[in-house]
Amino acid sequence: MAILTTQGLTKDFGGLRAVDSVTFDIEQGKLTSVIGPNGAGKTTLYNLVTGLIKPDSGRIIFNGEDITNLPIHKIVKKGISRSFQILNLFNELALFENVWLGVQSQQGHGPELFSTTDKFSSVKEETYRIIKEIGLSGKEEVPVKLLSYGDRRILEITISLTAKPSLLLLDEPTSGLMSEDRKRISEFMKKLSSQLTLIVVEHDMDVVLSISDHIVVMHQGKILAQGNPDEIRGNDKVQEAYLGGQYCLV
Amino acid sequence: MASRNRWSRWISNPMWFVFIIFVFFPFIPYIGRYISLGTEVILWSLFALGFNILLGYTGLPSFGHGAFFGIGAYAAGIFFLRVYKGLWIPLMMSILIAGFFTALVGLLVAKKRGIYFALITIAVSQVFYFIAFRWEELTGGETGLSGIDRVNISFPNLFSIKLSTPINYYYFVLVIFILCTLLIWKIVHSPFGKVLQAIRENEIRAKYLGYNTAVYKWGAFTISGFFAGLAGGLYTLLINSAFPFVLDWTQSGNVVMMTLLGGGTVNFFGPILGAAIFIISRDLLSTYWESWMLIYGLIFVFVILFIPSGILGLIGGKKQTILR
Amino acid sequence: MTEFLSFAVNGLVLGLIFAVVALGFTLILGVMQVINFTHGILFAFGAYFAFTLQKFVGFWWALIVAPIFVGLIGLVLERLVIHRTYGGNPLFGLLLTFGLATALEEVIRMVWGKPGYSVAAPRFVAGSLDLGFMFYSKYRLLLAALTIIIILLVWLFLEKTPYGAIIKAGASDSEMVMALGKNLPRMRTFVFAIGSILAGVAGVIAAPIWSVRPTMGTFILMPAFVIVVLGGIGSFWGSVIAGLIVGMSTSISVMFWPRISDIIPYVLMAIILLFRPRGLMGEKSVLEV
Repeated sequence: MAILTTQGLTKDFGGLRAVDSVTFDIEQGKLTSVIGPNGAGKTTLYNLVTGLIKPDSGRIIFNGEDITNLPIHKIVKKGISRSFQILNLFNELALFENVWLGVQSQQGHGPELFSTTDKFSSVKEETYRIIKEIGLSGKEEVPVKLLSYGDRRILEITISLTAKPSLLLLDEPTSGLMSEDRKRISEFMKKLSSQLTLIVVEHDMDVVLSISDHIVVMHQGKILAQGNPDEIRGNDKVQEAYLGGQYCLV
Repeated sequence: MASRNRWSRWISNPMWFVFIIFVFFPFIPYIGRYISLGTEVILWSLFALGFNILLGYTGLPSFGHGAFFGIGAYAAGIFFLRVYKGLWIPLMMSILIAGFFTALVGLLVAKKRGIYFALITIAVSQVFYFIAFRWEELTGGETGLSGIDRVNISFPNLFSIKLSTPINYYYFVLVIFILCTLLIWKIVHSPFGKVLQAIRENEIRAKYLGYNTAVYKWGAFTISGFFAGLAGGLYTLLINSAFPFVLDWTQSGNVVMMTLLGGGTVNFFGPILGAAIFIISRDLLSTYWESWMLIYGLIFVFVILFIPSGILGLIGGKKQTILR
Repeated sequence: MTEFLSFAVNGLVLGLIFAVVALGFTLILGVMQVINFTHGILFAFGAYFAFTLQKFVGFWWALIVAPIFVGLIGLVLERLVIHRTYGGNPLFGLLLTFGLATALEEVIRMVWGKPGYSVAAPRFVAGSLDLGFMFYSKYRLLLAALTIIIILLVWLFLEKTPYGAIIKAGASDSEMVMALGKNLPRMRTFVFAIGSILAGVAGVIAAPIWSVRPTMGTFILMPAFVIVVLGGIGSFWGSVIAGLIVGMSTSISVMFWPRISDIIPYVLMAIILLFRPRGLMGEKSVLEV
């Protein structure tokens, strides 16, 4: 069952066609990786699906509903969340605040003007619980910009999870990490995939091949190929696209 | 245990310190004589605190809030002279009417940021200035309105407070200020306030957390307008008149400057400090030098170049870089 | 009818002055993202310098020399203080230039005094010209011609020279310019100087038809804001067309309903903003996102 479907999604930036007539389905409960060289249109695709930019043509359907022109916050409330390739946290705010904001929204709060935040104990508890789960207890008051890169990478994903999405889009979650942290995130993603539908943009082929149920290969804004890891490994067109690059699919 | 922490946090809040200073100000030798100046400091503090919800907490640079101050000022004056010579109704009107127009303007700017936001607020405030200048039947045009007295507060059969005496009016304004400060404190420490800060830090991420940021921005804008209007109304009652200058962009510039000068971008109380320093220096300067505007302008330059985080930012050092 | 024509042509002339001022303002705004409050004061300096210089060197020399002085002042301001606010919170640039403008206005008062002056038009253009369908002030015709020449020169520079092309691009997308790797600080200073000269020139030319007062800077700055938002930040044609529109509408509304003539530009701006948030000819820029 397709949780997300795009139909003929196209986006131009000036003379450049960043996303070209992209049509695919994302199956519910599966982990789909989106791979391709830089500039293939992966992040733009994410931006389109999550409402940051509007497509020039095409449709996006989530759970049977057309979400093509909805604003970001509405799409999020429908159950799609995403993390960012370049860390996109509230850098000057404390760890506690960063997590709190997501939890607060998910629990339906925000507009309350006249009650101070310490009255919201369920938000507080959930925030502490999440921070404990990612192993950062004790650092609640630390401004996020002072945390280690690895911790911030985990936080990047964690914050996108506070919305309790049914579909999560991760954008290069292991970017810039050492192999130990990569494993950590890789396992984290495996655990997540049992709870929700994941789309992951990744460059690390080991990670991609080990965790993916389905792989979509993009090149110059188009979908070059899609299939399960074995099919993609053996695909000539894909090999060609990566030829000469830093990626080897052997 | 938890309740004692909450209690002790309340007691140690710098707010009480500020309130006590204001309460005892009239009794301080020499400077305590300048009661009206003190009243002016308090109402500008009120204006600046409300404004800081928008500037310091949400990060939106409005350079047109003088208009809402002015609308409040004129609303109080017009209602007093044309509708009802009371105290509460004109003041209520200054809050509501200023709030109404702020809400309206807010719709225009809620989806904007940065330069565009600033430009539009400047332009819009000019419209109100011209209206005040030109719509003579309503606003008295260039000569403005006068004869707006301060009516007594009377509790029938009990007592009556003569607000026309400067010191009584000072304490009246102080009481309003204290209530508003507590209110603003609550607002910025509420879930709403937290979302405003998120918007300031990273609006896109805030959207991705599910917040309809345009509505929050509009909300912050409108709320600051209510306080601006109230301050304007109080000012009209202070000087018993309303002139077009209350609306011009120097007022807008003033409130931004005092908010920044005191350290509104790093501290809740920055605007109060800034208002005090600004109003007092301006008064001193203009008394002793006819060309004081030169220094006035240069102070702006100085603050922007050397103490952009304001005085409280300077004192606080590296510990606190942003407002919480 | 001739009365209407007279108002309309006045509006055109006014619009041309506005356009020159707005051009300078929009370039600075587009390239450096600074809301330059000193632009009005530089306009005033142009007028005041013209007033003083004319007594010694006559109209034409004043026309050449005064803007250069103004450009120098602009240069000094930019190099000394204004450039430090680039890239930061836009409010800082705005406040800084606001402070400078306030201080400089006082300097004008201190040097030239508070009351206004009138600057006489040069003798060879005194009086009116018979245009056939109407008589019109010769000076204003000269003014129109001069401003058109200036606008043309700016256009030539932006369109036909390589440096101008970069600046034109930078006005609508300053990030792109940084990527081109040109000497950015020098370019910015250059743009500021050009903007200042434009303001100064407009001041010189406008002096005979405007009363020269310390507050004249404010009077020109407000329409400049509106024109720039109306026409689109960083857009050459936007400034010119919007300038003409604002000039015409102000002048014509004086004829029908003088009281709202000040407000007309803002009403126009508000209407345009509702339907085209980036102005008539504005490009999508980093500013608004």
